[in-house]
Amino acid sequence: MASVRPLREGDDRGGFRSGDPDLDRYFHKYAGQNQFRRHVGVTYVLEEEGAILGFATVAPGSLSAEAMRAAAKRKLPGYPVPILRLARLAVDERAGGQGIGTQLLRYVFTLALKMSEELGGVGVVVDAKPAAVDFYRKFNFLPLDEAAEPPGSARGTVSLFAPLVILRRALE
Amino acid sequence: MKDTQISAFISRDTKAELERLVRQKGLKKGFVVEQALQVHLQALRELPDDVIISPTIVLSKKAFARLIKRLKHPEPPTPELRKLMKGEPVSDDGLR
Repeated sequence: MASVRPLREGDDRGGFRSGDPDLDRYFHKYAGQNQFRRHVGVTYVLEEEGAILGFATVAPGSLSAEAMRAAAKRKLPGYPVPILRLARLAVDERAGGQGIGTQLLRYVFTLALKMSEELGGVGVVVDAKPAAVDFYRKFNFLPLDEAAEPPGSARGTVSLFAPLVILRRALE
Repeated sequence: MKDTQISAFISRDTKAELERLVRQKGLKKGFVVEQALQVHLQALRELPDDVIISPTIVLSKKAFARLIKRLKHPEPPTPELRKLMKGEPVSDDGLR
């Protein structure tokens, strides 16, 4: 029975292979450091019979407009709006096509809705590889036009946004 | 030789701290700002992108306005999103 849970320090991550060297390096080397030492994000793993078949790293964040004074003049919120950032999501190549990625995405959406109820939040931002943009578009993600590539975006990614109000409607 | 100029909105607190520092140390403000920028840029160059997950994404004013409009007038959920949120199995083809 597959289940999603937070990464543990003792988890063996060395055998995970998504086929994407950047994502694999992140999971092997930095997912644990970010979670247990730097406390800047939490990685959730989908585990089945002791094997990690996929992972998703999330972190709270915010969206703001450049030159907020000018933005305020145009009657936009003069403050950043809170989001949940889906920084990395990958599936082991041995488990491809089994819906592992969508199970993790559902888990992240559920986290974002919970975060919104308890702490506030307007949506989910994913840093998607260009090849995965069409996949995320199927779930109401649309590109954000960033003023500048933010530090911390994975290399060569596109930031996409899905509003929580749409996720709630999908539950009706 | 300084040959260009920048201007930026910063918080009052940061500005006050900068003023205090230049008074105490007898430094020129431009020198401190340039040094601080150089240190920041060097740190970003040396850290692999994988290490940091930036909490803030800055959008252009136009993009931010579009985002706020979308939050006020959202499009309907796609059929795939409805299936996903109802717990039905959904293919992850195209994820890679």
